[in-house]
Amino acid sequence: MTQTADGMIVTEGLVKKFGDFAALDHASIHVPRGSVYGLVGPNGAGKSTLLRNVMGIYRPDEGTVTIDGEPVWDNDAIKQRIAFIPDELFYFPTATLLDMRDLYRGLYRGFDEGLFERLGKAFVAIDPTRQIRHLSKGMQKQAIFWLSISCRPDVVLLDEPVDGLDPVMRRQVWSIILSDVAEHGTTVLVSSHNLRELEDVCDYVGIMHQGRILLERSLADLEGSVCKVQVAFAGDSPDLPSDLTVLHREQQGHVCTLIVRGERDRIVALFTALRPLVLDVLPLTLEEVFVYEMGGSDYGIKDIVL
Amino acid sequence: MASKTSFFSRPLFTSLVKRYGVTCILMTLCYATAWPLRALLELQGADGDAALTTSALYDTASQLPILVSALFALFVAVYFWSYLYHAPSANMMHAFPVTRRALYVTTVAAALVFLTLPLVCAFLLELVTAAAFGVDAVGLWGSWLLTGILSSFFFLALATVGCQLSGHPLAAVAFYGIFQFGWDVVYFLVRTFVGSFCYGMSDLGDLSFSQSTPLGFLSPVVYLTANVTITEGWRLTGTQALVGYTLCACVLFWLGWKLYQHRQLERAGDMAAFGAVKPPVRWLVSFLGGTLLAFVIYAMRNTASTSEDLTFFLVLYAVCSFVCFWLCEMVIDKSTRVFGRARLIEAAAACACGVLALGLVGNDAFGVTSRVPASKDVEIAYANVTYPILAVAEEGDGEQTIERICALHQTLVDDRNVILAQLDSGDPDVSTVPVTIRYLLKDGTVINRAYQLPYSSVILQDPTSAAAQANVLDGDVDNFSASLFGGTGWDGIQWERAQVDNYSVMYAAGDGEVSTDDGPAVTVGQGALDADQATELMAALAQDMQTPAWQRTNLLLGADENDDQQLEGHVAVSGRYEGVLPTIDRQLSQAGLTGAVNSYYMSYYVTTDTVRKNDGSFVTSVSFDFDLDSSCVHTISKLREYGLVQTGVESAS
Repeated sequence: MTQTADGMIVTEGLVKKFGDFAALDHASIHVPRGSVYGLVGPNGAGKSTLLRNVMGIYRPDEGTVTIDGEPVWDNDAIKQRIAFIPDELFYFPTATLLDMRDLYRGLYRGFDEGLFERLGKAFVAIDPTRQIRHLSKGMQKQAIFWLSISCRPDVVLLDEPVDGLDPVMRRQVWSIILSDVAEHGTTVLVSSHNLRELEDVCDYVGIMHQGRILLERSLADLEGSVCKVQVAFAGDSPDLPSDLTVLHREQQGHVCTLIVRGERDRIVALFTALRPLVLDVLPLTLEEVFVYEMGGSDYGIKDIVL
Repeated sequence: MASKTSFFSRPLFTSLVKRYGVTCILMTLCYATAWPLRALLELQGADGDAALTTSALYDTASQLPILVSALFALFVAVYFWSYLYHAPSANMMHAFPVTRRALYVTTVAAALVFLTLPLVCAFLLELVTAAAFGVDAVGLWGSWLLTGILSSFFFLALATVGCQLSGHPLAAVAFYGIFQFGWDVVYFLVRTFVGSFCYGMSDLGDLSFSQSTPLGFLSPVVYLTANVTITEGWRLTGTQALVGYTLCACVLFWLGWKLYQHRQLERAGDMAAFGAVKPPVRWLVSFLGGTLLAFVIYAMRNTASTSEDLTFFLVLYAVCSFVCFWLCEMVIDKSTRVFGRARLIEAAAACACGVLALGLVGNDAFGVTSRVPASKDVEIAYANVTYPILAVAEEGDGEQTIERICALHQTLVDDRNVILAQLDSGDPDVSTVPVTIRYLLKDGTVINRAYQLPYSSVILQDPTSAAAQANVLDGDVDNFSASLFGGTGWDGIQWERAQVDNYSVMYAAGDGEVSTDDGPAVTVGQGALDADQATELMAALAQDMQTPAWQRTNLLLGADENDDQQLEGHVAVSGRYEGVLPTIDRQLSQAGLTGAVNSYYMSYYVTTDTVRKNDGSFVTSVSFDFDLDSSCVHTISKLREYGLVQTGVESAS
């Protein structure tokens, strides 16, 4: 794992158990200041649990969680600077958006009334005088964004943030978040299954599986560390060099498709030495990197005979 | 750094108050309907009469809001802590920039305001209502308000601990119920078991009720309701209890805070918020549920030999407690798949411990039921066979009577197996009489015992039998006299008159039945006696009670089955006693041995009426009714002397 420098959000060796089940197993992440960090992983990997530990909702059994060098647990001062948008939303049963605004305004010293008014233009579909529980799921999510961004947080924690939003609103929300990152250096930690979307916004990625962080690096490094190689040989395929890490191999006739871990230039040199008839080295999307990395952790796509 | 002064969150408090404002209004309406409105209606009914007005206000205010406070406190606590029972709400509340301490304090403060505000509003309405009728009732309603506020404070603390122990609102209610009534239920079940299966323990006297024991305070709402009252002088009593519970509330709120501090939010929705709570709950439900169910099933069973009863009950208990254990586990885990190896071992252990404990108690392993105090250790002894007998050491023949009572008790214990066999025999000639024995020992200990005593003419022939000993005890005329007229006996009563009612002759008809048709005709007499005659008659009755015939047949309720002819009639004698008649009931009460005083000697009946004279002293009117039979030869002789009874032979002549 590559450690990113100067973490705004740092967890070291987090362990969290629910009974005998270890939801977090010595999970460590380092989220640099002013970056967008994408936390990806399969279902049940522990992403939401990790976020709740970072937010100070859960108390870890072992390990530490700090934000800007301060421990988070029961720290109201540091929580003033954090906005958390969970996957399961909750509002007071009879509250309208304006009621929640009054509460947020009272709780968060940095609440920006002007920003709240301006954001109303982005979330025009929401009637602020209507009870939030009567709004659609997507609108409720928009409402929490509206409130959270108005608090001018230094850290934003997002758990499946755009789930339930229409494509236009998704872009709108990401636009607001990224402009906040760009203008104010907000640090964002986002967990999502929508890797295609994360690919467009993340600076760093952490892949999580069974409570552990499998790897953690910048998106550029990650995508550059794995290549898709399509190669064809005259006659039988030669043996591949032993120091080549092959994550996936597929043969169709003479054409062999390989997913190989390593730097592009090195891989090209290795295959060129084998004198192939055809050699193509292609970059992978984040989704493909995730699928093939998880395959190495026995979570890949399995051929099942029905 | 965490804020060091963050113990209260005003925006959160304001939000809570705004959200639950309607609920507060509803609670105020409840109080207003139950008290000020009722006071208004009662005062209107008093129509300006000063005494009626005072009485009306007292009647209303003396209904203290303890029970209502207990209910409202639970409701408010579950309402305000409800965010802990649902993961999204728990996560949201703890994501806010508010420390756990501030969350806890703010929620408790808001809940206290919610409980107090309706009380204060009702109090003000009550004052206005009283003032409208020209009455200054600040003190009276102030006591009412103080009781409401302090009891609300305590009950909220209790409910808060219940809410912190649980992750589900139903579990919070269950915990609160356990805290309020758990002791009463445990005591009731244990007392019922002891009374059913422990020889001599069917009547525990004062100890029949948990509130009579020193641990009655463990059932707070019951204890407060019983001990906090407003007297007719508008004075609040039981303030010590209120203060004590208020101090307990402070401790409970601290405990609630500690629980909240360590609470794991991931347990939102679970029945128990702390894993350590589960085993005690399982064991408690296993014991209580098992015992209760076993009693229900046991009660459906036809009466069998008493020696088999305990074994049968223990088997029932083992099965029922096992079932209750698993039911409890299913509720706690919210799943039917709970049958793991570890839990199986725990269930077996819980059942085994319960069976062992009940078995030891039922078999008197601790020697409680077989305990008979030494007579020298007894301050006061009470025995009731056919009538109550009270003996006080160092008073008259008290020590001798105490020795007799202890000897009777010892025989009842030593001859337990013989007595139980006689009771189980089904012999139609054997009758039973309940025997109650109570002691107040010199060290302050109270012992209560109750037995079923079998007797028949055959059993009575054995002077060492318990029945014979009881007969001797009952045959003592001083004991009998004291049972009727208290410590003074009937010598202290000034007899004023007597009334003799119809007499008739009853004949034994050979088959043991009696009838009026088989003998010569008689003259039936009735008439009134003056004071001297009534006094002489009572002296004659006293003589009759010292005869062997009366003493021999005492347990047989005065009917000598060997008589072919029996004379029956009824006499009512009236007199007066200067002072308050020291009846056995009154003496028992003064000694702290309250409980039912029973008399099975239906042939004699005393009524008293004590009134205060103008000079402040008391006088008691006494009325003594009794039936006669042919063994009362002296009494019948006196009645003949007065011309009130004749035989058939005399009338014919």
